[in-house]
Amino acid sequence: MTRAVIDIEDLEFGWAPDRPLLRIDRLAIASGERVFVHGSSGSGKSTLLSLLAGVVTPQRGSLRVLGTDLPTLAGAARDAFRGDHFGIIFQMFNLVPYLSVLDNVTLPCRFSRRRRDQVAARGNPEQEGRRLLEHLDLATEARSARAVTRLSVGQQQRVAAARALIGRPEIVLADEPTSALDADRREAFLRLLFRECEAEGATLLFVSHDRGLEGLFTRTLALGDLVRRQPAPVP
Amino acid sequence: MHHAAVLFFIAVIGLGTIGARAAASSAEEVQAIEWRNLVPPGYNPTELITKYRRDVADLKDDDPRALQLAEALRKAWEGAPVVESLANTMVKLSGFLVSLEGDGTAVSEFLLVPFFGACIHVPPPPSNQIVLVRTGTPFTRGRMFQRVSVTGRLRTEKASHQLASAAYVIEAARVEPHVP
Amino acid sequence: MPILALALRSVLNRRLTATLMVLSISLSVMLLLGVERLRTQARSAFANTISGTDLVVGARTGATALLLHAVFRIGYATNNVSWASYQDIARHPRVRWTIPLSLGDSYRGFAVLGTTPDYFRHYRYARDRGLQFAAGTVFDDVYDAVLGADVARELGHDRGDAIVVAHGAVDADSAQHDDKPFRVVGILRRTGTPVDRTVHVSLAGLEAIHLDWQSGMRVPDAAVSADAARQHDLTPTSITAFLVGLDSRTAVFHVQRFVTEYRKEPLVAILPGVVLHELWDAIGLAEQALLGVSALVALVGLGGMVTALLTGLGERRREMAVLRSVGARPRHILALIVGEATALAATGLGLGVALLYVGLFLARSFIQSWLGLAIEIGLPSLSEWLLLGAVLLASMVAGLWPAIRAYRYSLSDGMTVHV
Repeated sequence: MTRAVIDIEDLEFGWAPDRPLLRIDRLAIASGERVFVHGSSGSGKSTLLSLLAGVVTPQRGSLRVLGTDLPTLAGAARDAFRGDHFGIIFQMFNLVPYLSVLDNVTLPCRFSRRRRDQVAARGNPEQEGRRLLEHLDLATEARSARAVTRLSVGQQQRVAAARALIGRPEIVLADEPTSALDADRREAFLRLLFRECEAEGATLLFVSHDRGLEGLFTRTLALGDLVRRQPAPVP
Repeated sequence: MHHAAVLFFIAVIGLGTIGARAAASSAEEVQAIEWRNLVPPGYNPTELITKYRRDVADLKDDDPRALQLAEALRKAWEGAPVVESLANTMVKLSGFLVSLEGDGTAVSEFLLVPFFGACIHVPPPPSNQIVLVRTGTPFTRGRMFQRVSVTGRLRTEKASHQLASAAYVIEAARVEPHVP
Repeated sequence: MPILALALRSVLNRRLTATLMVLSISLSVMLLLGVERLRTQARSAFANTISGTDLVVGARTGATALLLHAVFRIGYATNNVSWASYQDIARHPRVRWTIPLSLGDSYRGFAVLGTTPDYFRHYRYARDRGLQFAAGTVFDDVYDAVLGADVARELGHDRGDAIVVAHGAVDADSAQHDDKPFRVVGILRRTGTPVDRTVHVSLAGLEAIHLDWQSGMRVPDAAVSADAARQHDLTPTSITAFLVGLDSRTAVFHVQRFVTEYRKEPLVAILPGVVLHELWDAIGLAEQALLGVSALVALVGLGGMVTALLTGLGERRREMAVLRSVGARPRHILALIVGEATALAATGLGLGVALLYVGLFLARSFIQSWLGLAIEIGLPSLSEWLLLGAVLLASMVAGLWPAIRAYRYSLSDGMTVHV
């Protein structure tokens, strides 16, 4: 059996102290899954990703990622854990404007020894970055020193994908990465992403409100189902 | 562990400095002297001035006797004797600084005088109450007539060929601002 | 260090604001160092002009005025010293040598000094250096002249040239002593003092050219030819001032008193070291104020940098979120911003020092042609290095403020930045 990369039990989190936004009884995600997470606006989709990535810690409950009890780690340790084991793609403005395409892709290797070591098995970060960019149809852009802000949104998202995948992180979190793309580009992007995740053996959590893409995933998580109805506040 | 190492280091430096100082001073005793020590016993400049003032008060300015008296006083002062026993000893003396040579920020040569302001209204000190000081390293000076302490080897130098006068000199002196 | 590389790229990306910040810091550094340099150099240049002279004696006037005029050729003498008084004082038993000085005329903008050969024997500058000849020798004949190094160089004179001295400090066609030209017999080596910009002639020569002049004008009927002048008694009746060397420096107060009490003429004797010391003490307050202003300017420069970094943070929140998403820890974010501040400050310091040297070279040539004083331009001193280090440290500390803010932003923003 494939082991659980993410294991959540009895989790409770809220941005305000006594107004919980997320309540999750039980959630287990196995290695290699491609999970589609949807929910209405404000239901806490991005918050869930923040929790999983260790950006925030829950008020209650346990959250184990790759066997590690994430909330027990100190802030800087969580940052390091995130860098080692996660690849993250945002909805837009993914790239650091003053770095080249290749430098953006190799960014995680600057901060994570584990990913640097993973890359070293295949070559150096630049070579690995170019390889990924080629797979994502950005071979020429990899060589160019043009400002990343000149790239189209679709190209920027694919650069972000390459960055998320370099160094074989176990989990890829994608927060509505296709929302800014044209409808006909979305599926193409997804197929590229799937292919690379499978090649690298990464688990993918994909947050989106576009249910049209749902069918391509192995599993669907509806946040509404996960979250219990909130009981009335005790007087 | 780290703290212990730092403390140890400081202790070594401190003890070393104290030891060096002790060694240096035991090599030769530095005698702290006062201005009156530079005047041989029996020579009393104040007495001379009083005598001069008293005698000259009765005379007119261009009376030749007044000029004679002035000459006599001048000779007595310029020919002020030195204390030979102090020659070649290490001394420490404090007084007021009158710049002679320097680079604008530090002095390399100056006169040490016993009182503040050798200006024209007060008779200048007799020559055995003035010390010529040449510094070892130039002394970064403060205001004119700054109070300083000078440490060094006192010498007597033959000054004039005509008069039997000598001057006190301290060479390679160490100069510090005077701490009361 | 990978973070510093990021910091550099980040700074280079915002070239316009970075340039402005660097310029502002560099100007303030240049001011800070420049004020301090010129201050110490000016003092040292003045102090190096005269050495080993116990007293300067002149007509009773302000001590500073006498020193500035007699030694630095700045200003005018209000009165003269009679030749008889000069000789009386020169005969004092404690006086070992004297150098009489007569000023007033000029040659094409350079001061003309009437003096005796003792000047070349006894005049000392810069810690006991004597005057040396680059060519030729001391004047012997009545109309011989010895040029300072700059006079010879700027006017292209050589030995044997004839020069015509002008009456008064300004060159006017009507006031030329053109009937009695002087002949250059010697040229001095550079000293870095007003000596370089002086034409030295004998007292007899000065007397000769003024024989037929009355109240600043040539009297046509009583004209005396150059040769005829030689037959006259050319002993001067008065001089501007004279330098005195004693047999012992400790006798200086006695002789000073003697001059002050001299009844036949109102005279004053000054100790050059003392007068310079008092001059700098008086100016010292202004110097401190100038230094204080420069320090404030430096603070303003740094403040501008901090402000620019702080206001730039708003548009960088996204960038911070991205960096944290790839595993950047707090120390990385801090190091990035502080690194940017340091890079900017370091560039500003470097540029400031470069501008300083450019400014010093310009100032040097200006001060030399105006006062004849040489400003030394050397490598930064220890205290200057410390000052530069302090500014760099201050910029790193100042950079901490926007750095901590940047990290706080990234914490609160989390994964979603509302751009």
